[in-house]
Amino acid sequence: MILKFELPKEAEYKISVYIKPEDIVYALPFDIDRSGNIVDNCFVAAGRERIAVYENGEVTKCAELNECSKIFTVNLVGSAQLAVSVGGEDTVLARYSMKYVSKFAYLARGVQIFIDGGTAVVESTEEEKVCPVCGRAIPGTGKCPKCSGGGRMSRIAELSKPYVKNLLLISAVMLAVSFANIYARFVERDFIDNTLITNNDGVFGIVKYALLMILCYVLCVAGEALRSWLSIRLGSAVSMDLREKMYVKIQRLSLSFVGSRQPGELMNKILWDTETVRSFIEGTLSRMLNVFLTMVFACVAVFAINWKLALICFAAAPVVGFVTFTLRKKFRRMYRKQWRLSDKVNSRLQDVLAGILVVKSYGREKSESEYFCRLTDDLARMQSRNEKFWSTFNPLIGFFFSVGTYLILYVGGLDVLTGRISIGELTQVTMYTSMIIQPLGWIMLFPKQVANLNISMDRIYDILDRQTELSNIDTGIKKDIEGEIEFRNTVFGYRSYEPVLDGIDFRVKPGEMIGIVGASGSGKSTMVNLIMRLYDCDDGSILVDGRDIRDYNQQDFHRQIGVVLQETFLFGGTVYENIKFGKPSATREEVIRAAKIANAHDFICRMPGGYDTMLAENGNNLSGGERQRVAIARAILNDPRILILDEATSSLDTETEYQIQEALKRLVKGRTTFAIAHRLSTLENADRIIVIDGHKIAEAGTHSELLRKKGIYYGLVTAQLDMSKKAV
Amino acid sequence: MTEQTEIKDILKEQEETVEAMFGINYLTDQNAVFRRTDGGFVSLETNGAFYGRIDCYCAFPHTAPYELISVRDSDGKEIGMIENAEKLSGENREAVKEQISRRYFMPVIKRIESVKEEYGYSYWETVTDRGKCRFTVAAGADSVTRIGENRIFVSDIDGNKFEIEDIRRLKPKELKMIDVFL
Ligand SMILES: Nc1ncnc2c1ncn2[C@@H]1O[C@H](COP(=O)(O)OP(=O)(O)OP(=O)(O)O)[C@@H](O)[C@H]1O
Ligand SMILES: [Mg+2]
Repeated sequence: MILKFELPKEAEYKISVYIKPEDIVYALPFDIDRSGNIVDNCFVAAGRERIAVYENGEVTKCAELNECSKIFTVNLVGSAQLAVSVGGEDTVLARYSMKYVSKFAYLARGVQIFIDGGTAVVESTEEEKVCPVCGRAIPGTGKCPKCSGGGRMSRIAELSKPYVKNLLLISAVMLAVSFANIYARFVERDFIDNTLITNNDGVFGIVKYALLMILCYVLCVAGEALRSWLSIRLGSAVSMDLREKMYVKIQRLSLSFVGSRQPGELMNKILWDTETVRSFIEGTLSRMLNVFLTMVFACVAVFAINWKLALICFAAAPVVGFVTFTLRKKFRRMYRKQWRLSDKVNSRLQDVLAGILVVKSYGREKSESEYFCRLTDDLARMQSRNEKFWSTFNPLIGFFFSVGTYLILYVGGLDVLTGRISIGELTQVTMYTSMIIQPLGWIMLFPKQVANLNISMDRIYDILDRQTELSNIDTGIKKDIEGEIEFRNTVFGYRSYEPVLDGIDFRVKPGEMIGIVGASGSGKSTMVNLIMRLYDCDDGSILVDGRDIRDYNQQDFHRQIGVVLQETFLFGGTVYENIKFGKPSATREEVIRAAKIANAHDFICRMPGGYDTMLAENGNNLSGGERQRVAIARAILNDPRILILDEATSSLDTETEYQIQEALKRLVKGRTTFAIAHRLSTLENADRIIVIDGHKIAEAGTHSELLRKKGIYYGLVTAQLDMSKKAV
Repeated sequence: MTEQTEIKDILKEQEETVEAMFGINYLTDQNAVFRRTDGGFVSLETNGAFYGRIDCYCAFPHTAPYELISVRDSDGKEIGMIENAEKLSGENREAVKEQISRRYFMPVIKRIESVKEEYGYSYWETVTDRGKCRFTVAAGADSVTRIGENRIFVSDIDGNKFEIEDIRRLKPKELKMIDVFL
């Protein structure tokens, strides 16, 4: 990420009074002025001695760094400010939109180093969001789509490569069908002109033409069937291919991608977008070719027969096309509105049913059902209105279609009377005219469909092309680890401008049990997320057995970690399947042993289905504590070297917790364990306890050491004691 | 009898402590002085305490931007609440309102000049109540959210938010440009 922007000449000149151009270390643009308006061409420049603000053509502020005690950013909603503290008073230097937040966070960090007397210059490895060359947004791939070349066409080419044969076949079939369609009309003409009117061949002629026409017809129908069969196969194959690719990719993407989206949204994305691609290939693509070919053939044929009629046909076409197109657009808009409302009704219904417990316990059944009735009433009214409109105007479209034909009939009819063309020819031209005019309304929708396809493709490729943020997922060493873990000046934040952990230094010996405490939201779960390498740290490193955690093969590493997360997640499936999730090869005996340690065996046996009991989605048919115990069993089944317990026993009564503790105490021996708990008694067995506060490790030591220190931990313990005393 | 009064006393005492802990401390013209500082922040003097820099957080930024304002010190701890910023007087009102509008930056789109789609992003050129603004929106439904029937929030790739107060007031041409998002 660029932290030193090129200053325009004017700005550089004005700033040079305070900071010489060669002394500028950081230079960033900002985009909101003092009165809150969006502006251009404003800059903050910082050297080692001064920081200057260039706004509206003037240097408006300049601060001597040796007089400042602090430089900091204030995050607001939708914007942020850079400010300095001089002699206890805070002064705003500049205000900027979210576009520059990360950059200014780095700048503040960098300038603070100067204030503190350091000389280091911070750099950011974060990727630019906008292509420095052409200004286009850079997608998750990290490459500018324009400047790096690979556009949409190349993607589509790449995507369809395996299906070239299939596509060629479809095109061939379509060509044949269109041709047969056109040819059939020639046969008809000959039939009328040569057999019916002049009666040249008698009965034999009728039979001959009848057979020919049947042949054409059969050919068309068979071709049509073959076409739709082929394109359905193609569509399903392509969309399945995409779906698989996306599924695999999503599993490989780090949590920061998946976590920033709701799971449902991601699922929708996969289903909805691949569905769009499928329906495009099945419905639009092949039909497009067909329609297009037929139209071209028909145009040529009409021209060849009679150019005057052809001109009439072409004159009528745009008018008819336009009218039908507008009508259809109107229909679509109406139905979209209806669709949105029915969506609302559905989701409301789902919400209420899912939350039926809450609705009932607050006695809101009546008002909820009233609200729901109102919604369905609205929907019903809208539906009937739309249907009325549809049934009035839809026949009109049919009428417009035939207008062109009527015109042709009239003009052509006159020509027939004067003998300029034959009856057969007139019939033929009329047929072609409707072939040209009918698909027009549909063709005009084509750009819209292509646009939709493009959006879906873009979204799909946004995922597929995304670089996996975690490096070394498949490569990396596989090795049985000892369980030594070391944090070295680790910095991490879910958003780079807001560190959650800032400079963690800590070493854990193999087999040690570490308790982590701290206020809610202080970063305990974040710390274990880093140990599990669900995220990579922004700065510093984490070492496992003396090697960087990034050197390990991720899957192999995960195999050796057992986790019970704060939010226990169980899959739909049996209890047995859930417990052996991390080790599919586990035998029944192993599973039972693990369940026993987790104190889950008893309650599982008591259930009518035993270990075969089906769990509802996320184990909703178990109690909170039961779910946690299943999760504990799952974590220990693997015999992991590193065990992570994030509030693993928070929903248990103290008695059960005690029993699990006892069991775990035996199990934990020789394993590196991280246990997070708010109930401090849970951590009594811990070898060491660390307290996280203010983004750092505030205290670390054994239980008694920390008590003697009378710091944060002491405060927490006494507070809990007080509380339990009061409760008694 | 004595036991009952005792229990009543205890209950009352508890109620008082709860009130002290969770009751709302309202800041009014009578007990608070807000001042804009030279540095561009706002200071507060209340009940003998002085805060060099305070922030104003709206409890309902979208539905009632000037009511129930939580006033917090620079560490984010609540000092008190303002019932309605409009009802403060003079400098107090100006300072608080300015602080609120400073904290919530969401330009309102008044006019859409162009929306260009390219490689999965759309590039918007708009005129907002805060001036001309160009921004980039990722394709896909999640960048544009509908609040109610006609109000719309647009978020760009950096996380900036823009508001369209009422799409019915857009010109047909403008509506057409953003049609894909609706
Ligand atoms: N996926 C995420 N994306 C963005 N921010 C997050 C995410 N997960 C956590 N945070 C933020 O990071 C901070 C630390 O969260 P963390 O989950 O580590 O807290 P914790 O110490 O485990 O708290 P608790 O005791 O409540 O579980 C919080 O401010 C939280 O809002
Ligand atoms: Mg947590």
